[in-house]
Amino acid sequence: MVLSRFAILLSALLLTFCGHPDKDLPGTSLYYPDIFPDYVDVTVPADIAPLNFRVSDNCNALYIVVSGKRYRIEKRYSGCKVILPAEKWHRLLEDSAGDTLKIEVFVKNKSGWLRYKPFNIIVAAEPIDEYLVYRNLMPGFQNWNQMGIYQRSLSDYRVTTLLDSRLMPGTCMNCHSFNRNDPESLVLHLRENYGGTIIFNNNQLEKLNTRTDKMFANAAFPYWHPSGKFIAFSVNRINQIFHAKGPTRATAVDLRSDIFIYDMEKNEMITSPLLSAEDNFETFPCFSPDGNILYFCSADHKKLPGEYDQMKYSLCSISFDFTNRSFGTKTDTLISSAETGKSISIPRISPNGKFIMFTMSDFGCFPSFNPEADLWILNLENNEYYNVDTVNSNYTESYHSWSSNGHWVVFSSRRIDGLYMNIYFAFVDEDGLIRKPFLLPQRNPDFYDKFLFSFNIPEFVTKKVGIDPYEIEKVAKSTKTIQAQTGSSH
Amino acid sequence: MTEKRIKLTGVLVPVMMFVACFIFFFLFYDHHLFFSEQLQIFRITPEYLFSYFSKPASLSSYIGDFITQFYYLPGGGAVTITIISTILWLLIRQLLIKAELRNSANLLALIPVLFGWIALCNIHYPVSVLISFIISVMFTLIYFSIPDKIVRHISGIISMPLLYLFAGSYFYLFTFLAVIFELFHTDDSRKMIFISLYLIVVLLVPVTLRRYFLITPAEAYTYLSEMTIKLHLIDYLPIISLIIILLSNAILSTGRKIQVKSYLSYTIYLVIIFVVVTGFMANTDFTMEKILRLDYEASLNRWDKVYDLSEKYQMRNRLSAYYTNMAMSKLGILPEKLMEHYQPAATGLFIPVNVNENYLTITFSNEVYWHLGDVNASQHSALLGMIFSPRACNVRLMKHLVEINIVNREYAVAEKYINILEKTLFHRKWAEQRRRFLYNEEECEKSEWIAGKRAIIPVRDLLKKGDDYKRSLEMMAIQHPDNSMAIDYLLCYDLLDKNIPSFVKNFQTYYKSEHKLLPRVYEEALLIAIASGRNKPEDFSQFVFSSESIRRIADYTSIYDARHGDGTFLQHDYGSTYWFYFHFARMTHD
Repeated sequence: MVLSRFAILLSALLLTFCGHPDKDLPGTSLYYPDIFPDYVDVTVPADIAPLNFRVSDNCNALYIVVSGKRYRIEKRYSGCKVILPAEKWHRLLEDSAGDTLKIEVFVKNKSGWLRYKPFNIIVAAEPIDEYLVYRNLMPGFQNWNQMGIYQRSLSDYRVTTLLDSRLMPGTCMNCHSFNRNDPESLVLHLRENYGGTIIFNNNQLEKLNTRTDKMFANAAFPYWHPSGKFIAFSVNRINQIFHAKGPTRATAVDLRSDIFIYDMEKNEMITSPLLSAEDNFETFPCFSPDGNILYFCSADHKKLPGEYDQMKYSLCSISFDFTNRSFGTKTDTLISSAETGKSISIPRISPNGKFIMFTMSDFGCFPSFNPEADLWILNLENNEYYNVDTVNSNYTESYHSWSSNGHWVVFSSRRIDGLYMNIYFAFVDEDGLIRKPFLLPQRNPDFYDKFLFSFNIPEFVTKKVGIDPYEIEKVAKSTKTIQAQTGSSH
Repeated sequence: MTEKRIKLTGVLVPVMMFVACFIFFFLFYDHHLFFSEQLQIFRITPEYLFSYFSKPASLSSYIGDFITQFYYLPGGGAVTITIISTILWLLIRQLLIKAELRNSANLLALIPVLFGWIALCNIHYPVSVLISFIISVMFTLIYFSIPDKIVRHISGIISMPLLYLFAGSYFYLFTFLAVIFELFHTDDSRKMIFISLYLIVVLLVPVTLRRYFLITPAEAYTYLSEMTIKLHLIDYLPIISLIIILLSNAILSTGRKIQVKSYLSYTIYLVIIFVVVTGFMANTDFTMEKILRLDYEASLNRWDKVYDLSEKYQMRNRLSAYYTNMAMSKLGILPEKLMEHYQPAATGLFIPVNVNENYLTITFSNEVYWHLGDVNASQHSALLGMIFSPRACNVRLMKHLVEINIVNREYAVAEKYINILEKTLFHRKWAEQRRRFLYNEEECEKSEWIAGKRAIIPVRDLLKKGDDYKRSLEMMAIQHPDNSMAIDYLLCYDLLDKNIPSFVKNFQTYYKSEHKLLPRVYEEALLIAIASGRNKPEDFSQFVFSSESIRRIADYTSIYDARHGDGTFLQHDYGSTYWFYFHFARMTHD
């Protein structure tokens, strides 16, 4: 009796002075802890940076236990933030690849220690690409000022700059794209000052003027042909209009759009009448992994901007023979807007060619402005398409892309506050089922509370992009610009 | 002048100058300082501190921005600038004493400080640049005090890149003064080698370090602060003047002391007076000071004050018209007094947000939408104002965005901004007070400003372009017929646009009044419509046209006809009528 009382007293003393919760003490919650970012039951790659988080309770101290297959991390924190030791984290994750981590969170407040219901983090065996390239700019919906394109190492928090407006004031930089996640191939556009298209391919960095006499504007949304010899571009004329009420702050209306394909060897822009019809809007090209099919979005012409909400895009395809630059004689409609009553944009095909992920919204082709925009998947084997409930929220989800192994997708979402876009990752299994996404981790869990820039156009790359921003600056500012020529398809 | 008098003057003049500095910035230029404080959101966090190391002049920028926070307080700017200037003067004075200019150090040290004050009159020369000046002078003083030449040379070479990191391109001061010192005040036989080395290092440092800062070569060589968008000669005159003083002294004295004579003192006085007069004339902008004062009073909703100032200033530019019109509307006298003030057509009602504008005007542009109740348009302008602010942040606009998002029930965004503002020194209380409205409809309903604003925001969506003011006003008038500000703005928009048919149509649709008598400008416009035959008096039968106005339009018309439309004969008696505006107003650029 005396001994048991002593044990209790000792535990209480240890609890008070050493700050380690006794897991057997009462004070256990049936609920998961309210943490930000939400990492409860997410699936992560084994090489991801530490998933630091904060607990939303009022807490004086925290104690966490992260248990893997063989290793564990136990750490006490004063305050509400969990900053995981990087080395131990990576060892733990590497060892637990294909397995599950169990995270126990103990919170100390005025009433004492409280143990929350443990949650899991599944560690996928499939790795994620090493880097992510994205753009940061402030939400403005009309004009821009400071912006940059950056690459982030996904196994830690290092960010390096690919291009920044500080180097080229007055220049808009956008639409960066890589050929199958290969950092040795890059295309991006510069607008206004030093306008042109920068292409990095075969170790050459060049500046291109994409607009030919057959095009009504410069090239816009790009997609590489897997051969690396062609890039498909849409050509768009975009106007913004603004809402007087509601969370949709702006709507971008495409007043005209066509698709052209740039032949890199011959420096020619080619198209097909089926991709540049006057009565139709064609946009968002995407090649199949074998390069034989060009997917794109198409809508019938409407009176704009008045009928902006009747602009609904279908998902279509046309064959493309890249050996002789010829297009098919007809287009196929894979998902018709007449059937869905909605609008499809940004089709992105998985590396294995089985799935197309796209955004569906009520209208238009700039889903980042539509709160109802969600991610969908089309299974090309059985032609079924479905809403990816696991990744969608009440806010915009859009601009998605696939990792090189097809097991991870990255997308932008405004789910945190409805205004600022942030980046999420989600695991895709062999059947195309997508698991709960997780937010791009930051060293400080409070990062997103203060960051005043949106993340957009996230693209995986397999290795670090080796181009120096000053090299791009030099090429961008040089007077030597290659003028694309008009070519003809066969 | 006796030596004693010279010494006394050498104390009195600086004291008078610092008092004058305080008075100037406290009484005559304080609104520039209030506005400068708005162009930053200084946070007391480690991450915020580290963010300064991504640019040159990191130390001076951090200290300068810390100090700039105090501009928020009435008199805070004047006090801090005076203190910084005094410190700078004391350090320069010390430098001049070391250069054997003891007797005239007090007065000569004033010249660079005066140039600093003149430069400070431009928002793009923030106090952080004076901090850069202080840091450079301190480094120079330390350099001068090192007796061992090897140690001195090594420290000189190390100091340059360090000083560039701390003080930006004001590091040239240190280099030039070090060169002057070595050239004229040392007898080292190898001094030319070190001088050459200094000059090479000063040329290499910016271009080498720019790789870490991602700035253009031109920016690397001329970096002063993030606020400095365009460089002017005045920005470098503080350090150039000091270099000239020391160089002149070195050349003239070379081995012998200069005795202070009266003529030298008088010369210095003349230089000081010349600098003060021409510099202030060239670099102060009292027109902008007045506009900023209008803006300041408007931000506090002191509309009667705004109107009184407008009457006093009688400015003729679109920004003053913008605030004057808002004040008149808030005071309910817009349709009465519209023509008594300068009106640059409809551009006095709204400020466009496009590439032809600058961040100053874009910062102001959201105000009118907020007061009209077009909260989404206000948000759009506020977001763009943030984007175009020199450092992509603006505390005043962020506070607006908190309020806008609370009204719109976008609480998560409002919370984000509140989280940021709670990390500031002077805005945290304001932010903490707004926190209680988040996700709490009961508190929002109890709040007059929230409930009042929600009562006039659009109830139905409408799509419009960014500068579609008329559409915005029509929407407000249709959806809230009791929104008198929107209706007055709509009608005045038509009038300023000289669109009488549209004015009449909107007047008949939206204008409601219990009174039979019409506001003066509306009456005058309707009389045009009647006189032109477009409308009949019976069309406005619910109103009574004053006999005085009927008489006046008849007189106006007869003079107009008799003088074949020559406005000079009408200006005196009818210059503030709508008729005169209608016939003779022509748009010119500000």
